[in-house]
Amino acid sequence: MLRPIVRSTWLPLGIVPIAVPAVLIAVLAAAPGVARLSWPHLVWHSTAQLMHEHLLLSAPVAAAGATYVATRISARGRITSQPYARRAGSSVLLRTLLVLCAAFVGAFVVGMAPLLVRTSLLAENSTPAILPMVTGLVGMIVAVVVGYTVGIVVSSTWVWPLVLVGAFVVLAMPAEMPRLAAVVPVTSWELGLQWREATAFQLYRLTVLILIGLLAARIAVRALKRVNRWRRPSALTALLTVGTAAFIVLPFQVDLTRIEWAGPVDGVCEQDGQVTYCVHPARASQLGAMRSGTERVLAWTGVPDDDSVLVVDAALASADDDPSGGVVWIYLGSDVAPEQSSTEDTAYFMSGFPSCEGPTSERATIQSKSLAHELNVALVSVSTAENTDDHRVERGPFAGLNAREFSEWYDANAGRIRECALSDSDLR
Amino acid sequence: MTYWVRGVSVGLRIEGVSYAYRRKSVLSDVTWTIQPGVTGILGPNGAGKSTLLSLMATLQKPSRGRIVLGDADLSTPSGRQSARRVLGLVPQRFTLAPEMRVHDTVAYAAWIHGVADRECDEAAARALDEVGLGDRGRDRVRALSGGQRQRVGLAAALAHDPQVILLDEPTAGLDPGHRLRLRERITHLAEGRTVVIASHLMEDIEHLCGHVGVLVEGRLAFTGGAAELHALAAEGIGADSPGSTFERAYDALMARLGAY
Repeated sequence: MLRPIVRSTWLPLGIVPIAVPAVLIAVLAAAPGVARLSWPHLVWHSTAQLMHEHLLLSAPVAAAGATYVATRISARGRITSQPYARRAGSSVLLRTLLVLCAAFVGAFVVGMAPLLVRTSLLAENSTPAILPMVTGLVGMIVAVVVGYTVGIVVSSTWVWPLVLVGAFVVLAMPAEMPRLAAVVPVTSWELGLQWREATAFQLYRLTVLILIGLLAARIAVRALKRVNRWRRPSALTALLTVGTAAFIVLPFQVDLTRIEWAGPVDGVCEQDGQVTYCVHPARASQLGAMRSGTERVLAWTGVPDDDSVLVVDAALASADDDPSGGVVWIYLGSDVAPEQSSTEDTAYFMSGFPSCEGPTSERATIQSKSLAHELNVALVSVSTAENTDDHRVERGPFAGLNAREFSEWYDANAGRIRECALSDSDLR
Repeated sequence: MTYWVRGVSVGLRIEGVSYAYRRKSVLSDVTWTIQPGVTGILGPNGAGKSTLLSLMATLQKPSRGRIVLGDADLSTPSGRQSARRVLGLVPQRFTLAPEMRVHDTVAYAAWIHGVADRECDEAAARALDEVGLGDRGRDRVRALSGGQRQRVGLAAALAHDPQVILLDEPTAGLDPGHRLRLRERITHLAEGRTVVIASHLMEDIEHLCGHVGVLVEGRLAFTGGAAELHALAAEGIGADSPGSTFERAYDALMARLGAY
């Protein structure tokens, strides 16, 4: 008889109850990131964050898979789970968790691998953010431990669908209850490049996760050795319970600083006449595209003779920067071509919108705001179209103007546009 | 530290053991020495048979008194730890995962009982041979009959080659054929071991056990040989009462020992 490669004592239920959830976890970890694989630019900042955001679907499957395995092999009354056995308790727990974590956390990493590899190939001037990635892995481990413990304590196989749904609900809750993000590592909130979750906040969440995992493991060990009654908890278990509860409740009582600015960073800049373009170092290669997108708008509006224009990647903005402060902020996103973002954001700026919405906007009338909007639409439309001499604005109040006529009109009204003070009379 | 020698039978000493559950007395001052061989514990439902077995299996601790297995005092943590090397228990009620292979079930049971990884497959094969399921190792548990599943439970308790085997109502729920075959297996595996069987089936006790103790309301009402027990029961058998010979003997015995 051939000797088995993996001994039955490691996989007593066979490979299927481990492999099915593992494959599902790999698919669910990979699926939300598939679109990003075709993005031309990826940054570690976002990819690292996805390591814990992608727990939303993967962790419930891991927890439910662990619950199922626990109920099949180690539930109360199983001949394979005898409280008096020498390895009952921590040895059984450790071995089972080792197998489950290797399979499920491994599958999660495999699912994330394409995005991680792609990011490592495309990311420039940025390094992997360790804490978010560790949070993702710890989150998966905790899901496995908690799922296993529920299985041991409840013992009924049919609890696994409840664990699946329950875990998903818990993980989705921070979207509605942001304070829960201090405990649950799925925030549903993508942060800008120079913004991050505070290190203390991340460490706090990791501590909570580890405490939950330790407490669950402790309960599982006691359940595995339980005969009839639950014995009085040991001092360590009581301390863990109180500590974990306190850590979970605290964020609802105290406002923890979650997001912080990572501090100023020197942009990668280049100057073309009166226009200076700057991008975040992690997007250095997008500088050319950003410039190209901006120039398409400036070709219609021209650049004021007596002024200089600063076109800056919004990732370089600090919390104190005034969005209407004379800088063209370009919100580059990995999922939108940088040319398109640059064109849209420059058109937004050149149509005077920042003044319509900024601190001085009380002087703007409904009419001036409406015209700024029309101008913005017209600028985006003409800037993204094939730019030829005979191309004309197709619709709206500027319909029929070609590039030269539009530039002349824009030049004549530049001051009023900038102040969001256009009126119908300016259109004649 | 107690050292166990393979193949050397060990006895059990129960010294003044009492046990109460939620302030209700279940066992009261039980003193009994169980010798190697097959010993039966007979008694009606609720007499404390399973409790006494669970105390012997180190699952619970007596409220008073102590149990000594060989030289290991089960009232001490080290004694319990040591005794678990040589104890095998088949509980009255246990479940098996139907989708598991018979061999894997027993191999995993061997592992939880302390058998080294590399020896579990061999231990499972040996235990399955011992209970007559050597050729069913690759089958799923769901393919087995009730009697065969009971034997899988027995194999799981035997997988670490214990010197003391505790069986709680081993033939309960089995049809007469399976009961007969299981008795044969128990007789076979009792060689060189101490086997304690808790049962309320007089015929199990009479067929299997050299020595018997009868528990009535938590007290040890009788200890002695199976022949003595039979004689005691025979005195009270009413020839005209309904039921099998064993049922009538059991009824007469319980009546004589004050169970009713």
